[in-house]
Order: sequence, then structure tokens, then C-alpha cells
Amino acid sequence: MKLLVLLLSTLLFLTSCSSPKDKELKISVNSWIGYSPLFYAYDKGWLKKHNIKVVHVVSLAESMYIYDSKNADALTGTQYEYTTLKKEAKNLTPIMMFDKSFGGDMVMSNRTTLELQESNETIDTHLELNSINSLVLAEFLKYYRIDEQKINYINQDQESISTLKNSKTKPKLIVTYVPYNIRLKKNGFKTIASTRDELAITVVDALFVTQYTLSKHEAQFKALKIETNRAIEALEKNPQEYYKHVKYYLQDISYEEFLDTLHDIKWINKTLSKELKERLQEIDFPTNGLL
Amino acid sequence: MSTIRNFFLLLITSTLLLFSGIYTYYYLQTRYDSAELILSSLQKDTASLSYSISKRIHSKAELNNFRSLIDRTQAANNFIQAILFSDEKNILLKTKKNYVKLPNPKEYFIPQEMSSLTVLSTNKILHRKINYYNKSTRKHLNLYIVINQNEVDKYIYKDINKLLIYLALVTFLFLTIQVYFISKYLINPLEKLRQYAYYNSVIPKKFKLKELEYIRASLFQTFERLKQEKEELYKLSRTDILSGLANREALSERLGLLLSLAKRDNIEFAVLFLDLDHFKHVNDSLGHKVGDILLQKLSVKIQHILRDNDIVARVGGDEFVIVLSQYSSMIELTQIVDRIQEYIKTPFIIEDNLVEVTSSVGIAFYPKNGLDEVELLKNADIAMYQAKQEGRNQYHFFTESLNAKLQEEILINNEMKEALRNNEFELYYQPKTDIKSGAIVSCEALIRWNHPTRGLIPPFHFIEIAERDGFIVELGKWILKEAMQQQVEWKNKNICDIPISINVSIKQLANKTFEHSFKKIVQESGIETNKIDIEIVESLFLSNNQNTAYILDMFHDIGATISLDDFGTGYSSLSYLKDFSVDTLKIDKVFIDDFDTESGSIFLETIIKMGQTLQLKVLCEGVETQEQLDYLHDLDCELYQGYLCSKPLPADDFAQLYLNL
Repeated sequence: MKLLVLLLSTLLFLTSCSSPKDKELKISVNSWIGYSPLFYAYDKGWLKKHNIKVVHVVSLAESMYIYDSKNADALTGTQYEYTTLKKEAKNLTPIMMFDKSFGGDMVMSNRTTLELQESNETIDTHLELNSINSLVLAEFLKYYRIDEQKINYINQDQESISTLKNSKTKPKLIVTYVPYNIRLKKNGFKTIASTRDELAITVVDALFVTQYTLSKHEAQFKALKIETNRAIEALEKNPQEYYKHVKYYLQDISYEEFLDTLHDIKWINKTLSKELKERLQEIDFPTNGLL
Repeated sequence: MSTIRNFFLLLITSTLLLFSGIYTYYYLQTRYDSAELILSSLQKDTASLSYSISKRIHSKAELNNFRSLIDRTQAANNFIQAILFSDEKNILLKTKKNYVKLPNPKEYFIPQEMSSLTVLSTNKILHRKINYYNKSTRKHLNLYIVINQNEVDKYIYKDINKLLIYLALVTFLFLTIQVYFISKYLINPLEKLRQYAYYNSVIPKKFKLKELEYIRASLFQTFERLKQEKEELYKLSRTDILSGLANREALSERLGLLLSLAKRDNIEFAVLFLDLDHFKHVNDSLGHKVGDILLQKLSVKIQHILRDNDIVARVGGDEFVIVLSQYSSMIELTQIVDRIQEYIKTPFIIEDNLVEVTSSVGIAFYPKNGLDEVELLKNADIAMYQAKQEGRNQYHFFTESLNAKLQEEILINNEMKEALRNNEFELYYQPKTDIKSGAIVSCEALIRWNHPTRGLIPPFHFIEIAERDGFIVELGKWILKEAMQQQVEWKNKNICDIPISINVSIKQLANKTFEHSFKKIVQESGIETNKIDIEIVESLFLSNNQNTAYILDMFHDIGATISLDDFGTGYSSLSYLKDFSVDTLKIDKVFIDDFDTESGSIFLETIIKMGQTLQLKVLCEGVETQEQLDYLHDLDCELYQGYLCSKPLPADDFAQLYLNL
């Protein structure tokens, strides 16, 4: 009898051991200071126990492609990606907010805005057309009244864009965001407009997922939310330590550059201001599904 | 109650079903996983192609620049049947020429939240829009990846039938092998063990399984031990512990077999009943230990003399039965008996004592003297008693006359007891006469039996039998009582007041209650004790012990006298006369019968003179003639007894005789 009990206990133990864990949750995340808490939590191994994998990509467009091709269960992005993907996936919804761009999205150039306005030359404009860059550029052209006819659109991902050199012979416009702006700055480009001041556009970063995926991985998403908040708290407590874990995902920027970029965003992971909520409502960005 | 076979079949079947279920689950899971992998690889290629193209293309015409990339993508993925690009109306580029029309949306529609397996089962084509920009204008192309359904099926569904067949086959084979091994190594051995335990017949061979082998070995050892113990018990139950010879049961068994054989083959055999002479004396004088050792030594000797097929058994304390079946003649048989008796006679030294015994043997023959064991043993026993009676240390063959004598003895023995109850016994009295005066000075009470059918039976017909049986003790009491009462009666009637002689046997005297009962009878009768004369025989002195001396002293102490009866016929040892106080010597009749021969007269004169010298009264028995009386007178013999005066007479006749003198 004792032997039977022992066997049954062993069987039960083995069954419990072999009972399936939560299925792996893959999140496509592009390099962006606002998503660095995800990189930090992932690099610290906090997500491993929840079977969450972060797929690091170099651009928002690529992130979208990866998600669209079912190679990721959720993706990070701006309201642009949300709007784009929503056309195909009707029940896509933001469930976690990360940050609001506060200078993090910008327009850079080898000319001043005045020179650009006055110039009759064609302006080579490098951007990811299928991303928030389009909206930022449109806002910039509108704000500085630059004729769109002068714009030569060059569609590139941010990784390619960040390698551009300043030839000075021809005017260039670059729509980019943190941290890709840092290399461009080193290459001689200057920020001529950003979401901190000149550009009235509101850019928010969030995590998007379909209702179906959310129901399948709800516990994991809740855990992800907790770990993200924890990562941001870790950043506030010890930026140096935080930096060591995320620099790889942010194009190996220096610690000082990292600290600078932190000023280009505002964390909205815990609460949303009333104004922001209203603004988001205006652009059909729902907030009622947030975890 | 289920059998082990059924139990194991159930167990194995359950296990197989469980594992089949698990296997099937994992198999189905594998299908899902495979489907996911396949779909994932297709979607990656789709994403990769569309991403690469969308970033680098500005017009449809530029699509051909990606021809090599498209071909490589298809070649690298076996699950891709073909890759097509189209605008809204026409196919712009294809990797297989047979696709001429735009795919029907039904063929590539992918609903959300479908499992990969369902997607691959229900869709033949993966579709994706590729956005590209001409300046800031977004345009799009359609990318179709035609799934290689055969290849997909091969991975997902390919071997299900084969797998099921294999599963069934493996299950069947596994079951068969399991049943075979369980039967061979567990069930069959258990059945063999059961049969072995139940029938104890065929010893199973060694088993492979340790536990079963332990059971088999334990059973084997237990059965062997039981067999051994059984044999030992059997042997013990048929062996006399002291001598190591066969006991009565074994004798009965072997004799039974011999009887069957003898009956069938019509052969003769002899049954010898051997009894040691005076073995009791050995035990009494030297102790039982010496007696036991003697029996052991004799047993060895007897066995040594006999042949293997002869039977020898110890059936009592000093009683042996020997069965001889192979002898060619009576001479050979008697030689064997002689040899046995000679061996027994050989002196033994046991614990520093020289021990000598003789034996008496009775012989009975099958079928002449008995047809069964009981009869043969009884008749051999009768013959043995006859040998004893004839002086011991000899053998005697059973005869019908012996048997008749025995039957007579048995009859008398039974009738004696009845006779005492029926007052058939009567005392006769024979006068003892003073030779000089001719006066009757005493009388001897002699028992007679008035048998209702046989008439008057003299004492020698029954006294010896009564002594052998022990009945003499009871009969003796009656004689003492009757004789004493008679003496008192005669005295009271003023007929006579003479002493009365009463015969007392050795067994009577040896009885522990004798003294008490004797004194009680004396007291009850009221006889004067000096009127009592106790007659004893010489053989009493052989049992020379303290009790004999005590009893004789007791007689004297109360005032009675003692007469030594039949003197001269027994041991006639002078030492007895010295050791034991006797008052009268009664010379046996045989001496007076020969008074007129030289040797007879010498003996008679010698005994009379010896008695006179020892100052004993001397009485001569059996005087029948005047010459005999005159002769005794001349020898100064004091008393006589015999027909010359009177034969033994009934009490009234004796009184009449006494009064008439």
C-alpha cells in the first residue's frame, strides 16, 4: 500500500513537473529609450521565469512586419503602428503605456529651417515612411511651411538612416528618434525640430496586442507590466546599473548620452494625465484596455 | 477471484493504453508543433521578402530586381510551391509558369486566431500586402506564397496510417512478448509450485526469478525435512527404543506380510516366543540399569545370530518374538534355537557384575499351530510357558494337548472365582497322629472343590492355577478363616481342641495385606493362637528376604507354630533351618514310600535324626501301612500323617473320627 502511495505521489510529482508552463510570449521591441525597461527586465532575466521573450528589432516598420507575419505575439510601437495594424486586426488594443515623446522624436538636417525654407533645391528626406516618422515629417513641413514638392522621400530603416554622413553639398532632412539621433549628431546633423517644442504632434509608445492573444497570455502580460514598472524604478534608483544592461539595445550609446536621452521622454507607465487622455482620445487611441 | 495472467494482462493493457494515449497526445502535439514551425518558416520568408522589397522598391518595374532573392527564398524552403507578385489585376512576377490567374481570396484568406495546423489545412496560399512608397505616396503589391501541400502533408500527416499500424503491431508484439515472458517466468512456475505444494510429486527445476526460486527451494527443503521426519517417525514407531529391535507394531506388520506370502506360496514358518528366565531377579538384585544393558546386549546377539530375512522383535520387558521362515528341516530350526539359547546363556560382565541368564522358548508353526498372528503368538506363548514349567532354559513346541491344558486352566481359573462366591469350596481335615500313643494331636486343613458338574476336584488341579493367577490370596483368606472358625467350633462343641495346620502359599505371604488380614481373621474367629500351625514350603526360603523372616517371626510372636511341608523334595538346605525358626519338619511322602530300600531308609533316618538333633518335631507324611508306622516308631519319629490313620475328611466326619478314637 505504501509503495502504491509512493508511486502515485511520484507520478503526481512528475505530472506536475511536466505540466505545461505558460506558452512562450514573444514581444517585438525596437530600439527606443522608452522601451528600455523591457530590455532591462529581459537582460536581468526577470522575464525568463514568465517565459517572455523580447525580440529586438532595429525599426518600428520591421517590428510591425515581424508582428504581422505572426513571428511575435505583441509589439511595441506608437499610435502610428497601432492605427496601421488596426486595419487588419480589428481587436488590436494597447495594454501598456511606456512613455510620451518629449523631444525623443525629431527632425535633423544639415541645414537650418530657414535655409530649407528658402532653398529651391530638392531636399533628400530620409525616414521610415511606414512609421511615426511620416507623421512627424508632415507636422514639421506644416509647421515650417516647407513645400512638399521639394521633398525627395527616401524610405529607410532607422539603422540605415543613423549611418548617414553629412555631405553638406546637398540639403538633407532626417526624421529620426532617440537613440538613432546620437550617431547622426556625431555625423554633423543638427536637430531642427522635435516633439519637445516645435512639433505639436503627440507621440506615445505602448504595447499592442489582440484580445485573443491577451486572453491566452493574460498572466504573462500582467507580470510584464509589473516587471516593467520595477525596471523603471530600478532606473530611478541606479541609472548607472540600468544603463549597463540596456546600452547594447540602444546602439551602445555612452552613459552621458543615455542620461540625456532620458530627458527626451516622459514616463507614463503608471498614470495618464487628463490632458493626455483627451489628446489620445482625439487621435482614436483607446486607453480603456490598459492593464 | 482473478488469475495472475488476467491481472497482468489488465495491467499491461492499461499501461499500453496509457502510453498509447500519451504517445498519441504527443504525436498530435507534434503535428501542431510541426505546423507551427512550417507556418512560421513560411511567414518569416513572407515577412523577410516583403520587408526587403518594401524598403527598396519605388515602382512595380523594380520588382524584377528581386528575382534572384525570390528564387533563393523559394529554393531554400521546401514548403513553398511558388511565389507570386501581383498588383490589383495582374500577376507581375511568378516563380512557376503555370500560375496565370490571380489567386482567389478564398484560397488565401487567413482568419485571425486560427491554429497553424488549421491554417495549413485550409489555406493553400499565404498572402501579404507589400507597401512601398513612390515619393510619399504609399502603394502596394500583393505577395502570394503558394504552399507546397504535398510537402506539408508529408510532415504533418505523412505517417499516421503507418504509425497506427506500427503502434498496433508494436502493441500486439509487446503484449505477446509480455504474456510469453510472464507465463514462462511467473505463471507457469507458480502453477508448478502449486502442483508441487499440493501433490508433492514432481520437483520443479530451478526458476529464473529469485523470489520464486526461494519458494521452490524452501518447499523442497520443507518436503525433504518432512519426508525425513516421516521416515524417522515411521522407524521410531516400529522400533523398540531400548533394544533397537522391531517393536510389536513392526512385528505385526512384517508378520502380516509373511503370512500373506506364506498363504500364497503355501510355505511354513516358525514363531518363537522367547522369555528370559528370572530376569526379574536381575532387575531386583542388580538394578534396572543392568537389566536394560543386558537386554541391549542380548538383542545385539540375537540379531547377530539370525539372518537378515528373519524377524526379531522385543514385545515385552524380557520377551522377544523371533520369526524364522527359511529353514530346511526341524533339525536346522532346533539348531538355530539352540544357538540362540546358548548365546543368551553366555555370561556378561555389566558394570562389574557377572550376569547370567537363561531363556525359555515356545515354538509355534504356521499353518499347523495357527493361521493368523494372534493365534501363532498365543500358541508360541503357551509353549514358552510350558518350557518354563518344565524347568526353564529349554524350548518347547506347541501341541494341541498344551492348548487343551491351557484352555482347562483358563476355565478353572474362571470357575474358581465363581466357586468361591457360590461356596463350592470345602475344607477337609486329615489327622496328625502321635506315633507312640496313637492319639490325634492335630489336623491339617486341606481344600476341596465341590464342583457342581465335575464333582470333587482335588487341590493339585486348581491350587497351582490359583497361585499363577494370584487368586490364591483371596482363596487363602477364605481357608484361614474357615479353618480357624472350624477349630473354634470344635472347641466350643467340646469335640476337640487340637491345633489346626493351615497351608499358606508364598504368594499369600508376599502380599502386603497378609499380616493385617491374618490378624483380623484370628481375632474374629476367636481361636487361641497356640492352636494355629502354619504350613509353609521350602521354596519360601528362596525368596530370602526381610519380609519372609518378618512374617515367620510374626507367627511365632503371636504363639502360632510353623511346619515345613514336603521337606526333602526341595532345596532342603540346612542353612534355612538355621536362619528361619521352624517347629515341625514334615517329611515328604516319597521318603516313607521307599523306607524298605536301603537308600530310602538312609534318607529317612538321616532326616528324622537331623530333626531330632535340631529339636524339631518330625512328622512323616503319607504313612499308609502298619510296617511304615512300625518303622517310624523304631526311629522315634514323633508324628505321622496318612491314610493309615485317615484320609482327609469333611469336618463332621473328622469330628466323628476324633470322638470315636
